[in-house]
Amino acid sequence: LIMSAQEIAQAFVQHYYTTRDTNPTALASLYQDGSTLTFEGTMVQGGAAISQKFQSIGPVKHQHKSMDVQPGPNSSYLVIFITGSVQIGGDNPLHYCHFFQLVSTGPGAFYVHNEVFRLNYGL
Amino acid sequence: KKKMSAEEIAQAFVQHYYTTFDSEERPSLASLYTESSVMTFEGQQFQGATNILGKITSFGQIAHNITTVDVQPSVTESAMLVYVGGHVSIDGDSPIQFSQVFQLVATGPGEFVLNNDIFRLVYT
Repeated sequence: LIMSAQEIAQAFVQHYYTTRDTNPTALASLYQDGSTLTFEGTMVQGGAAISQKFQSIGPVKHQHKSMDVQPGPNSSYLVIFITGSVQIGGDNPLHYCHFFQLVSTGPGAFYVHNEVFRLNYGL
Repeated sequence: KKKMSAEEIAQAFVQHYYTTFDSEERPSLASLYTESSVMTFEGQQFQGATNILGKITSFGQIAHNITTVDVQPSVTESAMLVYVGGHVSIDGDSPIQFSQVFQLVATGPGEFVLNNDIFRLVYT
């Protein structure tokens, strides 16, 4: 069974947010040394630093709404853009945008090579 | 000749892209896209320079105001990701927040094409 790009993205997004919201340390396996996260303008590199960054943010609860999927520059890359709302530490929900570039390491296996997260405040 | 850093390339690109988009020269942006470029605008996907040009020229008067630019190296040395945040005014209406992500792929020294382009309006 070969999954379509949409199916892969859907499965990834589901897994990512469930893990991020309930068991963030388990997210570390999604990243490699060359992975880059930019969170609200701060850039960190590598699985360990990325995990550390997530831990420093504390409890979060995401509700993703839109998802745009595109193939990357070659067939083993996939680009995903998500918007939704997030509660950080029990605060009021804020709108966010979240970008991922996934790289395939084998059939059905991916890691996150690029990740950008931005909160959107009202004008 | 000094080699530009990724940040410098990204800033120059962002400046060029939005200034051109907001001017009468908007159609010239077609040269940034190839047959395999994919653009998604508010959930609608377009592939190839012709289709993408068709979509971007369908908009009336546009004014972009950029507030944030995040740059990351992509998987290979010849590619980078540029994530832009700002406000856009459509036909002189009140500005709306937007986010746009580009994947730039180098085709030669100082030259690149847009492999990926995703645009979303942000309603907070």
